[in-house]
Amino acid sequence: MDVPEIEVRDSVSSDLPWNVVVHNDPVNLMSYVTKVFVKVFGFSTERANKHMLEVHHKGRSIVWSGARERAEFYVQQLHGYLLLSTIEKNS
Amino acid sequence: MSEQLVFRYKDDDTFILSGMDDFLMGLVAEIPKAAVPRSDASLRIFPSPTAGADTEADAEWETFVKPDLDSQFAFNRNRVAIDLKGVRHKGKAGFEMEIPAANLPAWIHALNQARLCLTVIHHLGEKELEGSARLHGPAGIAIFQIQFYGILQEWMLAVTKDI
Repeated sequence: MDVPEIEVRDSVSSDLPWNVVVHNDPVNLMSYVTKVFVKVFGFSTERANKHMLEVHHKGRSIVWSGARERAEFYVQQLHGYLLLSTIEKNS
Repeated sequence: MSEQLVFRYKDDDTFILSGMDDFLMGLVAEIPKAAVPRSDASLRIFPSPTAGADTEADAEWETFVKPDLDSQFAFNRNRVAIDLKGVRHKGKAGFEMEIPAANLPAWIHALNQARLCLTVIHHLGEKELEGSARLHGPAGIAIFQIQFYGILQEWMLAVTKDI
């Protein structure tokens, strides 16, 4: 019983360190970016606003971390809303 | 010059954009065309998901994801183009059109596409868009167009819960 559980944990942990990063651009409206974060990640408006401001002031924000496949899914969603976003391996 | 540009509720299902003079009507009519990612704008509308760090992943993205995004963006442009067919001229009150509430997300995204494309095509950066640079000619008109589209986008975002 223990072996499969360990395998699952190993599998998940080896695929975990991927970040979804949203980059600043001077065109997307702040209100729009906040609404996109709420829509794509289900963030509260406060959390979405915090990430939006981080993008605006620091040039980028890590909005999600986890498995690569899921990260790619989120980046596809964000590209659908025309937010400049990438996946990065968490170093 | 028309009296006043207005975006308002007609009823629960419809909004009205009215008070557009010839110039503003021309800019609104141009949204679908301005939103088409031509030349360099394509790189911004379809950016690399890895910022070029993983060429294999980028190639797969180009093959499997880009066509879906392209269809999605074309859908938004077409939806706006269909609504534009209903534009009416109201004499001194300028041009007026109805926008179904269900189409607002497509309008918001098409406006965004157009703003991004215009920015790339006219090589505009943060300085120009914030108005701290003085520009004339096509780039100056493009800045006005981007800002006007931004106002429309803000109005629509304010009345739309789900994008």
